[in-house]
Amino acid sequence: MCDILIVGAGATGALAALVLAQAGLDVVCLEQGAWVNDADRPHHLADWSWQRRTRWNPDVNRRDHADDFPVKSDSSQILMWNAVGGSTNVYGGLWPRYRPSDFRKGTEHGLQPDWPITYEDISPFYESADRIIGVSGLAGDLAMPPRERCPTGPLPVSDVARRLSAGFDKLDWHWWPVEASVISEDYDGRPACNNCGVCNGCPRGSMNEFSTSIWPKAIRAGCDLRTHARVLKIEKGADGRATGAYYIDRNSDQILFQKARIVVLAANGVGTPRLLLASNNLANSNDQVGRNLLHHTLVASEMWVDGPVDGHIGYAASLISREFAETDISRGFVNGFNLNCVTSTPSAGELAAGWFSSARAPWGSGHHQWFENHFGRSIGVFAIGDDLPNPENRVSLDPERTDSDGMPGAKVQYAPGENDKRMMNYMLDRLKELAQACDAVEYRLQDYRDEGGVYRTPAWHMLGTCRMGKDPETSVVNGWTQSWEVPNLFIVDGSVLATGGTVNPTPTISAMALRTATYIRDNFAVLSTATKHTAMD
Amino acid sequence: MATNLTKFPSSFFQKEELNQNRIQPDDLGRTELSITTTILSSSNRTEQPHILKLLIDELIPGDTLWPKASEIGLDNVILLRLFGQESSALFEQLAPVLDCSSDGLLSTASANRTSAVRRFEELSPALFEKIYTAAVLAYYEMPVVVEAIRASGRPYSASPHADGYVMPAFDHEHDTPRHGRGSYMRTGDVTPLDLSSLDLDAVSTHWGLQR
Ligand SMILES: Cc1cc2nc3c(=O)[nH]c(=O)nc-3n(C[C@H](O)[C@H](O)[C@H](O)COP(=O)(O)OP(=O)(O)OC[C@H]3O[C@@H](n4cnc5c(N)ncnc54)[C@H](O)[C@@H]3O)c2cc1C
Ligand code: SF4
Repeated sequence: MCDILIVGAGATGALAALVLAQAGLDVVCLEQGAWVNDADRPHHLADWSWQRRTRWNPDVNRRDHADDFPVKSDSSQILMWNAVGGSTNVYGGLWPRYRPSDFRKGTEHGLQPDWPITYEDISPFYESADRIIGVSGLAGDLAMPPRERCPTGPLPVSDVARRLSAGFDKLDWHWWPVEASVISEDYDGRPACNNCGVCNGCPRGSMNEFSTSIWPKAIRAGCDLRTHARVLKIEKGADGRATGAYYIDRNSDQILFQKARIVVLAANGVGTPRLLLASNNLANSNDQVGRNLLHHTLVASEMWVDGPVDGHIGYAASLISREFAETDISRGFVNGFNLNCVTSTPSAGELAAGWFSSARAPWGSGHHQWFENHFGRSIGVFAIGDDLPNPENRVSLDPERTDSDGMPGAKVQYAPGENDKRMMNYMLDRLKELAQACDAVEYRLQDYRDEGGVYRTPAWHMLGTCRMGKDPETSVVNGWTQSWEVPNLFIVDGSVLATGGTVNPTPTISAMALRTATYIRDNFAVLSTATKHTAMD
Repeated sequence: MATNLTKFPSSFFQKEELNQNRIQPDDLGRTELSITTTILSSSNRTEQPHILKLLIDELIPGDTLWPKASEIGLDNVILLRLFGQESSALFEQLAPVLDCSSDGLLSTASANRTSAVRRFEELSPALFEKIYTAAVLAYYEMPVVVEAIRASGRPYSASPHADGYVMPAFDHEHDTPRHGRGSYMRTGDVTPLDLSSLDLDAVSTHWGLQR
């Protein structure tokens, strides 16, 4: 019997383990994948751009690895990584926060629920997450509530950022240096970013990968992290409490049972609903588990400017614009979006083979001319918006395919709704304006639709599938991310987010994980025997 | 300590049975098609490497600054990456779609070779895509190509993670935005909006780039 059993050793599993093990609790974490060997990372290999499309492809369905589980989906990609550190082994480290109104969409328009908590509830945990993780950025953005000084200052300003900021200024639109979980100075024993640009994770440790920066501390604090340990089922006792989990030790092929006083799920927005559904529909008598999947509305543009901006140099992202982050009904839709400006690909090969859009160097006699005209001049911009929940957008069990241990794979359905489509049209128009304001000599928009007009998003944010709420009928967990039905079951990954906000979600997911872990730590005695969920004010 | 189960709970899924449906290999062509070759049969196997060289030189030809693809051994890299040691698998796939006759890829006339490749692209876009992408990525990894990029005057490293690039640090005095733009709504300021003008249920938007 352990005090706390955590399922999944990704970003949130790491943070929960750190807080709970440092409090002296007996913590076991089960992770289906392995440790990622630094020397094996593509960054060090001559063929790293090829590796990013094959063995190190962040799309779970494009690499053939027994640590993964298959995800059947209409999306063009399903981006995640299954190993110690989870998806942060390949993530980009953009680190923006939600805004207060993101928590109040029920009040604002009622097409999404209010969160059971406010921005003010989560704000202290944003600050502590930033200190633990090591973040760079600049306080003072008028488009955001005041924040503490970032642990390290902003990253260097790239030529891409200068060109973009001039475009934003011309349009009179907001922009600000992007916050990142990348340190601009040596911090916590890790070296500052060296501007290499190969930001799919960072074996150097300048970008926070939870495997190299958080996990060693959690293990030193006493957490028992077991790798190659795939959880097959959470078991529930007669009193309605979770008793522990069956898992397969993939090294020995033995099925084991780990008893626990409290179970914490940190298997991400696809892995957690998959596990609950595979556990005889645990915590799902209201049929909410897996529903309301949010990926964000997403469109993009790639532009080329008339002189070199060396977008292959420097951290992957440059600026963020929150000009359109709040709802403005006159635009014809509710909710907002942000413009996530990246740089370009660090690889000449990736640029020529096609990177952000359908543009690429043609084969044949025009190949080199195209490259000469485009290399060092390309800039990418994503528009990311708050999509509305739809119960039919969901994660369910794949009746056909299984993982290497026979556990059913996941099936993911996602289609944008009317409001989302209107927002994406508006975003495409703004991306065009931005390219023109940056004096782009050429630009391509990307709407992620295939020839048949079907939206196939590269799904990288897995949110909302076990959402928190005030109402046990329409949510899976309460304001402490505690299951309404199984009082010693908590969820800390992105599946609990009630809305997707307009930005990359991991700062919010991390802050929420810290908040829940702190709650469990401070109320362990009560929670370890409770047979009812905690009453919320 | 975890308990070892001797008896599998009856409610579990059947492992053996489900295992048969494991995810299949990736989309890089390693598990696809097995077409009987006509043009590139085993009798002319010695032609095969030559054909791949010709093909990639059509894809990435050389000029005074840039080497042509075959000159830097790209054919070998492509074979290795896409088909492991099994070069025959590539040629089996190419045979039905790439005209290697003396009027096609083996022609001395450049226009004929270009047409043969264009037809290959039309007939088998997926295979074409695989080969072209692999060729392009490998091409720009090659030291001599990296040198050519640098010769254009831009700083470029093929393995930048080791040493990074030098950039001036953020200068608070000069780099801090001074535009004064930006606002946000405080928690208490969020109030209900009138959505009646939106007609979200009644109107269906045609959207995307083709709208
Ligand atoms: C390519 C890419 C780029 C991204 N870029 C950004 C970015 O720039 N900014 C940002 O904010 N976010 C980004 N993200 C998202 C970010 O990585 C995730 O939000 C974050 O990792 C979520 O943390 P998590 O703990 O919920 O899940 P994960 O980090 O995905 O971890 C879940 C873990 O659970 C394990 N697991 C699942 N099921 C089981 C089981 N049954 N038994 C045992 N273990 C199990 C998995 O193996 C995995 O290790 C990106 C993601 C990707 C893939
Ligand atoms: S640019 Fe910085 S954060 Fe990105 S991979 Fe290089 S060192 Fe790491």
